[in-house]
Amino acid sequence: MIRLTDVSKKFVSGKSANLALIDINLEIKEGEFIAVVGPSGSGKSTLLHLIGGLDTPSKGTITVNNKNLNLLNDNDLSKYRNENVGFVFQEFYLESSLSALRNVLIPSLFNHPSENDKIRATKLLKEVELSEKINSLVNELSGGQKQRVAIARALMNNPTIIIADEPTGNLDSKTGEKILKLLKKLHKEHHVTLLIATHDETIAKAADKIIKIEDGHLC
Amino acid sequence: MLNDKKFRQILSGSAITIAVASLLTFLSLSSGIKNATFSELEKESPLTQITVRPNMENTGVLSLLAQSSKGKLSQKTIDQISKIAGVKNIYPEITFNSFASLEAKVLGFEFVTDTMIFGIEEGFVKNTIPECKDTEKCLIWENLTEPYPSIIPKKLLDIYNFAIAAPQGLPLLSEDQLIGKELKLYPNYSTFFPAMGGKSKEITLKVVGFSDNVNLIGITVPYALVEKLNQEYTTEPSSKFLEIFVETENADQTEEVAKKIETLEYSTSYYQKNLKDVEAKLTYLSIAIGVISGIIVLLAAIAIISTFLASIEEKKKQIGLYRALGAKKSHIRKIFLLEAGITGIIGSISGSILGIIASLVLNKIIIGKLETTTFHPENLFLITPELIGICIGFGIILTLLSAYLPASKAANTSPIEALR
Repeated sequence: MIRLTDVSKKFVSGKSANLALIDINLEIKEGEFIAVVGPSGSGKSTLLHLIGGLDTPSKGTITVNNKNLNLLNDNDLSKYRNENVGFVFQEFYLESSLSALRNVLIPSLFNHPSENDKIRATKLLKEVELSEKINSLVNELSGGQKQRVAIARALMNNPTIIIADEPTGNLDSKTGEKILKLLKKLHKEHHVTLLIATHDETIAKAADKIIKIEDGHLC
Repeated sequence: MLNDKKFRQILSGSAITIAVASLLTFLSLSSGIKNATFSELEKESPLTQITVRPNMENTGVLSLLAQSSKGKLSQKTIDQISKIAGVKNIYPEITFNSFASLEAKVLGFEFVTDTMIFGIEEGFVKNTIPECKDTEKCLIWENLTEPYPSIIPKKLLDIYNFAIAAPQGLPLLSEDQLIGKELKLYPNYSTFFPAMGGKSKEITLKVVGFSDNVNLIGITVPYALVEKLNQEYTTEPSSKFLEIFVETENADQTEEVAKKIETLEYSTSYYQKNLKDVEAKLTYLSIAIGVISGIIVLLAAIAIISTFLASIEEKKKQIGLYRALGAKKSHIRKIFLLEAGITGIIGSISGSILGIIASLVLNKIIIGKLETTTFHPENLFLITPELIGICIGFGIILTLLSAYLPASKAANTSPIEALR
């Protein structure tokens, strides 16, 4: 269960301040597929970053699985991200000099690496239909394949939440559809809470619930 | 074309390579110069040798003018010194108390010069005479028949070769060429001031050896010969010694024996004492070399810091991603320090190799140049495994220290800022 209570986020740059989120109250149940929609700059990404522990709120509390993120120090937040959250980004953010397998293994490096990690990473790459590209360098892969590697990487540490920020933003519509299908499939198979920030109507329609956000407010 | 990342890695690697190479070259030069200087010093004054001279502070000018025996070296001095524990042998040196001229014919050239004649006993020169090295007694030194044996100071040969022969295009002389050569000695006769001499009779000397240890300003012949010449040509007896060479039982006792001799109001000179003077002078050289090395190391550190800071900017997204995937600040710091460590190891090993090559090349060049001087050590650069180890270790530590600040900056980067 993810619960946001009176959450606000203010970005200060020099003398000017920008309220990205204002008094957000929200509850997301475990295993839900949520689409967060809204125009650019509305606060979608900020909301997901706060839930993902990448940033901290200026006001209010965020509780994930009864854990108050406000109370976590930097090390604990890193641990929370590593063990509980899988990120999928629009720009993929893969290590171009590494193979698909090694990219998937990255999260496990920060959390007691074991011999089973390689087996799990291989299994995940099979799940995202990249079994033939396991040892290929990621810069040899297509955009869709890169995003599949990123999805496998997001699942590596068996997280409870997947946060995908515009996951199809850099892909053509056909490939985007395939990625959406894959995310939906994995959401069911891995019983994860899936939060997707998107402009894409198709993705929004596929979600269990749509959260609309505009000028930092929930609509 | 090299990409920026590789270029920066090469740049920081090169900085550490140059720093380590310079450090190794300078340190090997510093220790090489020390070693060469000490070796030269040891040749002139072996570890077990003390040279005893009159203490001029006590004798003074008045005492000298009054022909006082105060502070002068005599049989009494030998008796006093022989009572000191740790003294093995005592060799007084006497001098011929009048003018003398020396004539030599070498390689078709005839050399004539005034000289001083010093007399010393067999034990002191035995090891410098090739014929006597493996014998119990040096019979050629003791057998007082013409041609009389004589020993030439090595430095005198150097001075001739480099200060006279080389500039004037005369042939250079080697020890081997001169050993066995006969010289004509004219006691009581001055080539430079012929009017000042008296009756003289030519005597023949034979060069039997060269030494760093004998008096520099003349030739050394058997003690008995100088005694005989003094009796024949002068009224002054040979009972007053110019110097006394004291040989100690072992090197550890030299300083203690010398201090006891000094309490008898004589002046002493020995390796350990000279070493301290030379060491003090060489400290300035070490400081100068240290300052130069320090500047190079500082520049290398600045280069490493700036390349790593630039590298952070380049890897900002990667840092952000790792932080998003759960990397703690310590993980990020470790990643950067690991990279720095690898750069440090490669740079330091390359630097050491470069430093060794530079030292060997410079050594060859400088030694070649020194051949035309009186100072010609075998090596002027001293490279030891310890020195190489220290330089490699220093290079790695320098890289890690220089990278620590950028690594900490990277670790403190906010993940969201980095990904933005």
